[in-house]
Amino acid sequence: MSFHVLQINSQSGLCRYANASHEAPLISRCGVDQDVGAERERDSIDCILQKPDATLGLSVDTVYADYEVQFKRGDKIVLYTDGITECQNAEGKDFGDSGLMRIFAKVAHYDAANICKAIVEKSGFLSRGNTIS
Amino acid sequence: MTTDTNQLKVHKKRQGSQLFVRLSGHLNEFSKLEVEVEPGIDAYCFDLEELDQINSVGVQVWAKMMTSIPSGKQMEVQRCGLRFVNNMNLYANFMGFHSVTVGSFYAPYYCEACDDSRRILLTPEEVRATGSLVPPKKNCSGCNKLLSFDGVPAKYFMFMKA
Repeated sequence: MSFHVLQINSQSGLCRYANASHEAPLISRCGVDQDVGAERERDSIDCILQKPDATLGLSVDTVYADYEVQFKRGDKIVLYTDGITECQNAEGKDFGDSGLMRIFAKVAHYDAANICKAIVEKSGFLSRGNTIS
Repeated sequence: MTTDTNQLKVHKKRQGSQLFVRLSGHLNEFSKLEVEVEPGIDAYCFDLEELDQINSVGVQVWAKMMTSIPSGKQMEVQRCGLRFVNNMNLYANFMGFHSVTVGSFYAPYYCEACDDSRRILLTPEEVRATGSLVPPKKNCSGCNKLLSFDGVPAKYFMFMKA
C-alpha cells in the first residue's frame, strides 16, 4: 500500500513528510508580492518531491526517510491518489498528472473546497456517471 | 462481474539469447503477465508503446513479473508511456532488483495554440544533453509552434537520476 504522511507547522510553515511510493502532493507557490487570492501562472505548480521509499508492508526492514519543505503564506497544496489522475473524460481521454496540474494552476487562488470541486469536475469523474457522497 | 474490454495481450519473440516482449492493452487486476525464464535467455526487451493503461494493481502484476526474472540479465524498456514513467518514478520496487535501461519514453507536452496535449517520444540521451534534465524543445506536429512541457520536469525525469 502506498502512503504519504506530512505534518505542517502552521506557525512556521515548515512541513515534514515521508513518502511510501505515493503520488507526490502538488504545491502552488504564491509569488513574491502577489495577493494570496490572485490568479497564478502554470509554472507556479511544483510538487513535494523526493525519491519515494518502498510501499508499506513490503519489508519490516524498510527505513523511511523524512524530508522538509518550507511553505509560505498563500501557498496551496493538493494531496491526491491515482484515483483522480486515472479518471477519463467521456471521450476516454486520461485526466492524468498533466490535467490535474493545469486545472490546479487555474484555480489555485480559490479556497480549498472550490479547488476540490473544480478538480473533480474537470477530471471527468462525474461525467462517467459517478457521484460523490 | 466486471471485465476489461481491452485486456492485456503479451506478444513474445525470441531471437537467439534475446526475448522481445510487446505488451498491448490494459495492465490491471485482470491481467496475466509471465515471461519465460529458461536458461539461454540473457536479455529481455519490453516494447510498451501499446500498453494503454496501468493501474495500481497492474503495477503489482508488473513488479511480480520483473521479480521472476533472475538477476544478471540485460533488461531494457522502450517507448514507455506516461503512466509507465510515472510508476517508474513512484514505486521504489517497480523494476524489482534489476538495473533497467530505458531506451525511449513518451513525455507530456502541450500546445497552447491548438489547446491540446501532445505525447512526444524522447530518449534519455537527448534529455541529458540539455545539461540539467530539462525538457528538450519540441514543436507541435499540427501547427509547428513551440510546445510547453506539461508536467513538473524534476518529477517526470526523476527516473534518470542516479
